[in-house]
Amino acid sequence: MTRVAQGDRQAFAQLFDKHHQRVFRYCYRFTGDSGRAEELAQDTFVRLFRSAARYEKRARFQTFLFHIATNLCLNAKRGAASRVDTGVEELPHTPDATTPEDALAAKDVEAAVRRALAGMSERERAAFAMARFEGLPYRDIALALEASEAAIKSLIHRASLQVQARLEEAA
Amino acid sequence: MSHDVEEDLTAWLDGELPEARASEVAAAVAADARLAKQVEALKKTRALLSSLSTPEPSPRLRALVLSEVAKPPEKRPFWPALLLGFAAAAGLAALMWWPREAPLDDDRVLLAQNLELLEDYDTMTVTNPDDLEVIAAMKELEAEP
Repeated sequence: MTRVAQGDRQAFAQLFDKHHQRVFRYCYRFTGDSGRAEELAQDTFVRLFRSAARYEKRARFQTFLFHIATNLCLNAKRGAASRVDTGVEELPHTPDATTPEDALAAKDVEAAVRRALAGMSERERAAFAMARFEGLPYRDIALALEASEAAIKSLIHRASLQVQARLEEAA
Repeated sequence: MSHDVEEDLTAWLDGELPEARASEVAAAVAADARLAKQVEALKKTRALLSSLSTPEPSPRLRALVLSEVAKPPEKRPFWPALLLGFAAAAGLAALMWWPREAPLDDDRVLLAQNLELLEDYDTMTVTNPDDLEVIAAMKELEAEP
């Protein structure tokens, strides 16, 4: 990041290659829409480059990155005033499914998870996606969402129960 | 106690609890079949989530981002900020210097008292100062019963 802050675009490209899939995945789980997730991931990295000078070495890089992505996701949802896409038509391909039944089961799981994510508050969804899909520690999520760790613990637990309930409904 | 433990189950499974609290939760789960069942359900949910696949970002994303950062930073036009500054300064100045209920001086009191007379002068389109006396006399006559 020190090199990126000095305008080193090659160093930035390396950072992009290393982290862009996580950011995209996070935005995808937040919005439920791959096109929108790509736009948000693009905005996140452009903003990362432009604000690299403000990065403090003491902060963890992924915290800084997810803080930017989270702010963009939250602002985008407020601006669009739309809900998370809960459709199942464009569900991602499931390479692990060996039989049509497995594929259908995977589709049901995906649909149930999408419904659960759509039913969450934005902060629950953001915290849950960072914890469950990206494996971020609660401390980093708290910094990204500018909340206490206790609040994050509560958000993630509530979100987990919602997902569990949706999956039980689908079963 | 059970409810408190239930609130901490997800954090416990995530390894996010302090050691002492994690031990308490572990003991509670071992002693309570309902909590143990809840833990199993949460574990199953996590396993299903980890099996989900996510679409890949398109290859053009990289090109888009790199071309965007290669552009010089967009300079915002300065005039909206300037205009806003002027408006704010003007507003402040108006607040500071706006005449507030200035006390009435003698001339203003006189004007207010003779407004009716002046209106008459205006109505009759007085051009000659001598006519002022005639109108004043008419007013006196009006006032007489």
